[in-house]
Amino acid sequence: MWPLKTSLKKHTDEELMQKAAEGQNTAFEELYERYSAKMLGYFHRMLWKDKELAEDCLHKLFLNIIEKPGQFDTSRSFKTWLYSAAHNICKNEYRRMENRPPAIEPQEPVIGEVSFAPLQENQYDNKLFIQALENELDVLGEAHSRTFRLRYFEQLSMKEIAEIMECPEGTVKSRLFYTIKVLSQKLKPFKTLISK
Amino acid sequence: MKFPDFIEQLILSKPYSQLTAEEKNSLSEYISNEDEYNTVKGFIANMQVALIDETTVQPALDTKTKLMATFVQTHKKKSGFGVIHGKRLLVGISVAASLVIAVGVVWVFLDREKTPDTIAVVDTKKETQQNPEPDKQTNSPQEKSTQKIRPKVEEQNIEPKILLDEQEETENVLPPIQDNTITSFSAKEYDDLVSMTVTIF
Repeated sequence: MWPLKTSLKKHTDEELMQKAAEGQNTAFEELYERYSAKMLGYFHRMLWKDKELAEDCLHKLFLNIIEKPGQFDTSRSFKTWLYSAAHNICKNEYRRMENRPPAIEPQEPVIGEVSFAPLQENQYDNKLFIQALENELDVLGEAHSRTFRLRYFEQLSMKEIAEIMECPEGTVKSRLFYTIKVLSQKLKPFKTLISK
Repeated sequence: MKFPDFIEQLILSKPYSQLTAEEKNSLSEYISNEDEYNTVKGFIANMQVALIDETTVQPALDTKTKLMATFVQTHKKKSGFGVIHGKRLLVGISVAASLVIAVGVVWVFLDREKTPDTIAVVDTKKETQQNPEPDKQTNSPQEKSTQKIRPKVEEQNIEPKILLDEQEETENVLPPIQDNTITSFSAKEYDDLVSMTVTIF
């Protein structure tokens, strides 16, 4: 079993997907190892930091791969296909929750209050910054917010984002530029974070 | 190189004061002044630092266990019913089809073999008329049946031609080629055929 697993590491995602569709469980396992943590992080960020819900969505996502492997479009990259599928699951969750995130009491101060709060530890500052960023992204439109998340949180390339969002690369670039400009203005109070 | 790679690299690598005229010109499409440049620079840098420190969530172990069990079960089902039973079904259909074909072929051959029998019966009658004395040495069932016919033929004194016509009427269900073969015979040909059939039997 071990040499087989080692050799599978050299395979591309698409090759593994093909093998998994043919019933090779080690190929499926390898795909899970490659993407489970990334996809869980994606669901966690997209679904109001609800770990349990993110875990359920991760299960749904891989269950789709098991039950409907034929849905994988071999002309696309597995990664972008997986993110598209993950986004569809998120959309279902938004619909289920009627586009209303669960009412969670904010544990961190909102951006307006942060500018007056003393920043004592870098770790704490980062946490505040991320929280403020998430808040601002929630306010932005879905397309801009998603483009930004895919680029900076998921570290995807322009081409990959364009494929997932099913739009031209130019659109992705202009959305990113607009989002960065808006967020940089809104999160201006955090400017001192890196200079510390 | 275009936005955002270009801006990201440039902004993070240089302060605004160190930008060349060409770089400033390239940036002008996105950033209009030094203040805006520094704001974007601060934001991107903050974001990079914050994202590195962000605690990552790890999937629960039982998620993988459940999925692997489902995977094995799903593919076991597929191979169990979809492949093995599919193969068995295919073999079954093939065997059934082969049997049907074999039965069909045998039936066709048996059916063809009927024609000489018919001719033989007719020929026997003709022979009976030509040689009215019964052959007492014959013992086979076929010959016995021929013997039964003989007296009837003798009593009615029917010409072979007439018998052929009757035969033709009663056996219309047979393929037409057989009927034509018999009826188109001339008297000499018919006699030859009769003698040939008798020789065979």
